[in-house]
Amino acid sequence: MIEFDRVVKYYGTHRALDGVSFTVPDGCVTVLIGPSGCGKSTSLKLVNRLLEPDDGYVRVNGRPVKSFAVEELRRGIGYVIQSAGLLPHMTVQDNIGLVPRLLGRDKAWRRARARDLLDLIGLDPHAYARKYPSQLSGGEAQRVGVARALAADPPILLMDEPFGAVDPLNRETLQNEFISLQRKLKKTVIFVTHDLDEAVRVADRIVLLQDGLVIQEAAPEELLGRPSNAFARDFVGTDRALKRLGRFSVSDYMSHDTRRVGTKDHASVPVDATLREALSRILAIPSDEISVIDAQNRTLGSISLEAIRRAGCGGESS
Amino acid sequence: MKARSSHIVPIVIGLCLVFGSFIFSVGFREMVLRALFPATRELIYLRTGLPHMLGEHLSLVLLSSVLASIAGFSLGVFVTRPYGREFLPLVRGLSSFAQTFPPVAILALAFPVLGFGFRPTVAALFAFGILPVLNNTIEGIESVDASLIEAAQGQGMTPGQVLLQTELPLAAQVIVAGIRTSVIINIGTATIGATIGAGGLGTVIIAGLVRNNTAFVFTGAITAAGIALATDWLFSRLELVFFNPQDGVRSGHDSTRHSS
Repeated sequence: MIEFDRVVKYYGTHRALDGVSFTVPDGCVTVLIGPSGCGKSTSLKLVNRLLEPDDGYVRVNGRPVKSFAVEELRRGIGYVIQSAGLLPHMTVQDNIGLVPRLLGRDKAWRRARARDLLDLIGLDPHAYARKYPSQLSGGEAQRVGVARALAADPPILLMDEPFGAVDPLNRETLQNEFISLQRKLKKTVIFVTHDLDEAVRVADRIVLLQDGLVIQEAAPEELLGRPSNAFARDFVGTDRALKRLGRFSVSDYMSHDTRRVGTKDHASVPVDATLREALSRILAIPSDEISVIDAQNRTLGSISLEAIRRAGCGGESS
Repeated sequence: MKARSSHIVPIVIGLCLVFGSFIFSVGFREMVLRALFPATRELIYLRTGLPHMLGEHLSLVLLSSVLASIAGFSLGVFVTRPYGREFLPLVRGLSSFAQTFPPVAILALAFPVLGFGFRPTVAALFAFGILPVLNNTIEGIESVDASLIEAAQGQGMTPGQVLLQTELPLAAQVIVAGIRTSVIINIGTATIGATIGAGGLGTVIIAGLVRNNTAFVFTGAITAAGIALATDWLFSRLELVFFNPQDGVRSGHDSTRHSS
């Protein structure tokens, strides 16, 4: 668990963080979000002590980060930054093996680890291990950046706009890969972004910041459903109800009564889709109900506009 | 690259043979000079042999360049460290000011203090040779992307590891280019050392100027030019070996950054 306890940080006379407190639970993705200059990147860098607070405490598992030797602390925390920050004079496998090397792991171990991680992030080890960063696309470099952060198997990952420099199409792929990776690895992640869609997609919890203050700390559904003030409402936008539907799965709101499904049209929605997707599909057909299918195209039941509306209004799943 | 160098190698070997014969074979030198300066009676400078003068010249350049490179490099690294950074503007200002000094002036200033001969010349060459190395060390290190350094720190590198494993490898090419410039300038400047008795190839040039003997001037000048070219070529080979364009150091990793 990572705690921010009334943290204050100045840049010159500018108060970048004005007494920020929030907690980052273990095994979850906590997204720090807010407009430019809100203090989200600053907060992140306080955790691995690239910055030091002027007041207050940052604690990891109850222990103030100040009490760790700074290099030890950083070697135990994976760090992913925008545009990857790979060292251009090292090969992909040497970049991935960087932290293990600093920790004294031998060459054979690092090679094997780099190959495993390349496999994990979906890059062919034979093709990529010996490449240099300048030979990678933006998305590939970013994947390698994630692999490097995971190399020493740290329990904590800090991700500073990790997909911000990647084009929108690749960004979504990377986000989905990250989500499924996180499901396996269960790291404690702090993820900084200014992109609300990205936050809603990857977050277990969202901390909304403005001018160095925490405005709201909540699950994405709650932030979108009940923004705490005018700024939060503006920030989540007028389509917040729609965004919120993206957090819910069709499988939780569908009816399993297969007899109700009409056969007048062939429209259907996969059972693992979100309610947002289901709504979009229903709006495209004349009916108020759409059949739900599994990966083998078998009809499992249906979902109605009414059920989606109830979910959207904040009704809990039944 | 390979195809080009295979053409160049025989030419380089040929040039080295001609140049070597010119220096070490008095007969060959006389033949060349006679062809170039048929009117001149005295073609060969007899007081000191050309190989000896070349040896003096090279030891002047080698000693001063090694010292200048070490000093310029160390000072450049020092002023880019957190504890030395406050000296950066001062050092930058001084070094660009010092570069406007002609080397002769430094020599003129050095010999009343250090006397005649080898030492003041080495001192002057040293002082003059520091500047390109210093400038390039600063520029090379400063040009390393700040986000890369932060990334390196964020992975848990100590300040020494950041310097040795991130900053210096990425700045190396620019630093070596500075050393190259420094050495080449010193090879030319070292000829002035003869005016205060340091020996070297300047000896025969000055003798030629005094006696109005173009063949002497030519002998010294062509030899100095030859070793300058050879040194330059050696450095370019060195850069090709150490900084293979394939490894991406040259192209770097371009990054688009957004502030947050």
